[in-house]
Amino acid sequence: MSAPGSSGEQQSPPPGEVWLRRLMQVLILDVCSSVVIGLALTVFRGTLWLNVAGALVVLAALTGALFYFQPELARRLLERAVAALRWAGSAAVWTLLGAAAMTAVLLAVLGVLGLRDAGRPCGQPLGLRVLTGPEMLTPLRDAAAAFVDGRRRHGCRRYTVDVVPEAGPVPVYDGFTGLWKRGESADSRRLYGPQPDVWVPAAGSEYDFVPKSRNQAAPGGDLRFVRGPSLGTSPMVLALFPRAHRNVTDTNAPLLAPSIKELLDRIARDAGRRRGIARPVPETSTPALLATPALYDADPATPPAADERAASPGDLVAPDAVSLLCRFREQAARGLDPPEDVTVLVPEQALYDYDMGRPLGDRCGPASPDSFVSAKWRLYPYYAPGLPTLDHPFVQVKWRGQDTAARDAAVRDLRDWLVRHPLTAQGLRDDHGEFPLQDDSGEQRLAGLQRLVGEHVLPYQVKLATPIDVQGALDRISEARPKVSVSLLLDLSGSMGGSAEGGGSRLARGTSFLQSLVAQLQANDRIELRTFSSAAPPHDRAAFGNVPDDSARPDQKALVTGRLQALTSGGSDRSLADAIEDADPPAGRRHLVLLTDGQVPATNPDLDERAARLAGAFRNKHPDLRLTVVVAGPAGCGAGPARRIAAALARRGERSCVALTGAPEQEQAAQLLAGLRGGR
Amino acid sequence: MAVRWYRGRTSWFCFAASALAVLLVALWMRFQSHADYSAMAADCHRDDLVVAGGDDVSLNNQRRALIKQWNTTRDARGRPHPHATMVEVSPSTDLQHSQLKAVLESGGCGYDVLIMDNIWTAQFADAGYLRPLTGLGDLADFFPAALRTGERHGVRYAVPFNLDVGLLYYRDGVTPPPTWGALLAGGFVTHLAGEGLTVNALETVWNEGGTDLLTGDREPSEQELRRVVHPALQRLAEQVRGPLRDARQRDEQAAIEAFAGGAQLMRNWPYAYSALATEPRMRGGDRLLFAAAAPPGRTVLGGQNLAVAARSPNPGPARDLIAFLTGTDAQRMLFSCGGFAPARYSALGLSPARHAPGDVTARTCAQLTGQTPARGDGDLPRQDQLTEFGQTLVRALAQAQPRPETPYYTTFTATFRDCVRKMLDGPGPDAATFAKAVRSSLDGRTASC
Repeated sequence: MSAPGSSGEQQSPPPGEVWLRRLMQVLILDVCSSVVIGLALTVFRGTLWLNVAGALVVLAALTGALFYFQPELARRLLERAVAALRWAGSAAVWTLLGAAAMTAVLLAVLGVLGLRDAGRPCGQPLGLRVLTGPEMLTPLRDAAAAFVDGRRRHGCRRYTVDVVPEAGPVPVYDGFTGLWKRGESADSRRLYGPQPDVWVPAAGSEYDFVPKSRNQAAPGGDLRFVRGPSLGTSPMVLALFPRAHRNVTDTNAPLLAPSIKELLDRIARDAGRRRGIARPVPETSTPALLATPALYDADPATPPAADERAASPGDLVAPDAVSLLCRFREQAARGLDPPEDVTVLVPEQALYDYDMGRPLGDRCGPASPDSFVSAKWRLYPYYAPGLPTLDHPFVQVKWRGQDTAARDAAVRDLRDWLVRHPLTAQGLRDDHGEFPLQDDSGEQRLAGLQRLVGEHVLPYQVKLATPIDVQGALDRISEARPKVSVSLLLDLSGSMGGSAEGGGSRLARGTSFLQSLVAQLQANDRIELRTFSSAAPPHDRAAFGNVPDDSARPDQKALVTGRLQALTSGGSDRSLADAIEDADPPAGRRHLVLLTDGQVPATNPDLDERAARLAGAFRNKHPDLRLTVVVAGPAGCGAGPARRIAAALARRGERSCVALTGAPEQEQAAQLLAGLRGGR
Repeated sequence: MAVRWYRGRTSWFCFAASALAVLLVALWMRFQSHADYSAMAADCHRDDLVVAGGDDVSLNNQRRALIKQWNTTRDARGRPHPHATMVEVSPSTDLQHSQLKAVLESGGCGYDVLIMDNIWTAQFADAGYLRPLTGLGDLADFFPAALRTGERHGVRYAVPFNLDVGLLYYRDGVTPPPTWGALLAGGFVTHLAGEGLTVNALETVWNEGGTDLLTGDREPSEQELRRVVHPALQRLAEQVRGPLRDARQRDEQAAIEAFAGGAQLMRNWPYAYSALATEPRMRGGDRLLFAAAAPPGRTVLGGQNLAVAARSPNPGPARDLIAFLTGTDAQRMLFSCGGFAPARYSALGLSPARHAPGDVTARTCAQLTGQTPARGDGDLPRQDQLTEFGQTLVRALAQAQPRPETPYYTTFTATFRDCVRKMLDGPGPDAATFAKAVRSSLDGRTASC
């Protein structure tokens, strides 16, 4: 065998050596060909080694037949093939050398650039805005901090991540539908906060609730959603304080109760008299909203209205789970005893944060989990099928005008990070409802809770229970709840421009509070808006700022919040008694919410006489009217015309005057609305 | 015969072709993802103006009132002004920053005029988010220290909209301490939560031997941080463990409440004056039971500036709107009606040539608007009270200096607060660790104490 083009003058090797050489060449050719054929076949079907073996057998048979029947042809073909392979081998080596050399050059360039960047000031990190429920603030902020830290280059941050809370399923619906506008007037527009690049709703059903008509399906749409994977799951749990838990716990009972009814019956039987289930306000807390129908369905014999009354202890109204749990921490810090007669309905992950002493969203800071006080106020979870599982999907949100390749890449980077660093490290369970006993860092996450509450409390796996859709839940709650018809009566006198506690003007504070209240109304409630000052009589329905009474559908609510946004103060006081009488609210059971800074006696002459008239003739005309005075000024409910007028129309057992405080307005609005519905 | 595989054109061709292929693939990977991305671009063809900032927390919604005034009046040629809308993102400064930055770094054209914290100028200017601001006429009427906060590397990007400066509030019958040392030793109500910690810590540094450190565009060395700043903060820590203990969890509002509840002295911003003036506990009829003074030492200059977004589709009208909002009439309204400290001499009856505190004159909101105050109208300060307050502002401004001018202010303040917090909680970091961390943060590098 000689190379192509050679002179052929060389001495011939011994025949045995020639045949051996040819055999090796044939074997090498056949084996290499078999591998190539096998790989090609494997793309379509079969396993690699079988395809290779089969090809080798076939090729060996063909080669053998060729050498047997056409030895000269076979010899010539073999010589040509070997020559071609020698050339190809040489080319392959030089190709690999070229690729390696360029790769080395590129790596060197990258290294030089890296060294240069290490010494330069940092660039600006790209800011990501994440929206999630209040319960998920702590875990997501921890995860986001790890992401920002993990993605640093030469000590420089590539990203910043701001995680902010959503106000509830209905405001989120309104926000995405209205391009994040909370209120709008001719000259100003208020947003719900930063427009999110990422939304982590409590459950896929919350995502489904938001209409997508402005998104990718519509060309020219302003908003696009891209749904990603679940970041972790968390079942809703019913939780007890220690003494109740000691009476109820049973090591022989399964960790997952047979049903919610069985669990509630067992709690009622063993833990003693129950005052109710402390559950956040459904309109402002998606977890509570999704869990409420399960409570209604627990015992078909009990009407939902009765279940709803049981789910709203008056002193434990809170807009979300972390507010509720923070209230427990505050009471614990004051040395009070826990409400052992209350069952608490919260997500397991929020209970984890509470018991482990972690910060609770924006509402309160950390606490020592091992302190005596924390142990006294510890909550012990109980599980039942039917209580929904929150699956926290990752949703990318793209806004027209803010959509760039860099932002898209950053969001996908965050998503990929969260998938690779699951939130099981933050007290959630995985997609199967299981929690890891120990992760790679050796930390015990949800298992750490197990150490605190005991071995026979947390089931290793809680099967996922898909929640009811949000609209269905809202409808069921709406049917179960007492409806309210609310007349908002807003003081626009000049003094409302004065300073309010918490900053800003009293009017701004008051209108923001009222916007939160309106946002929490359901479609079968009713709402109207009246304004008053010396320049604006409330009975003038045509006056700007007044919105006639109608059902609290989205368009009516948008009209009211828009008007509230546009109002400015001016004119002198119109006395509170005049304002109430002039308002002449519609007949029937109605709630009149009068928001004022309290005014002064000088602008409310003959106060005693006017109060008596309200308590007499006016009350006779409106026997079902309930007045609540909301004071946004420094006087509060302690003195002045506000207190006197409120007292004149107060009914026994009902709170007729409320002073706005520095607490979040959503919380105050939730408490007021709960009081209106419950007749408190 | 051996094949001479190491020579020949084929070999070099294969070498070069593969090297070129690797280079092309690398370049393709580098640029392909961006080139292929189909973004939802905004329609930038609009004539109206959008002003983006935080919630309007001025009294009587004065900012909104100014926007409304712009919308209902005409320019010098009698033409209607292009309609302006104020977009209020959030009451939180951090969230305002988050939204504005996201829109600007996306190259969006959604905003024309930006209401920015004055410490954002360096960051936004360096990142190319702002358009240089020219054609505003004579700027000499602005308070110089405030005006400088709108410059970056000698280029003007913003002008001040309203100022903030630290003031010392004291009750009737109390004599404010004459020196910083006496103030620190005697204790006072302040706010050490959030950015308040940075502010109070910086004031301590400036008044404890580090006057020109961590201020403006001068970058301190590690040695200065070690030898001057760290010891000054240790002295603050001693006071915080003592007389300033209660301030740890307080924000500005809580500080106001504590002062109204009986404390003798309080450090707070100018807006607290109007808040206290309407507080029944702080009034005896028409008389105020408290007063404000310039603090005994250096104090932080805060405030908000107005700038034109780089991608604004209406830069000319945006500039005109800025001129309107920062004009003397608007500044007077913001002061007398809105409770904000003004940015111009003329708003307080002063001029660049005549600006002693004793020259301040102020008019009440009723006098400016021409509306006779009716009974029950807001308890706004009287003219003499406003004038006295204006004099205090001028004195305080003379002692005010800005926070560090750095495009990495958010990194700096987070690192600085972390270090100071650790010093307040215990022994804290040693001087070298502190200096290294803070120095790195000024370059945008995250570091921990």
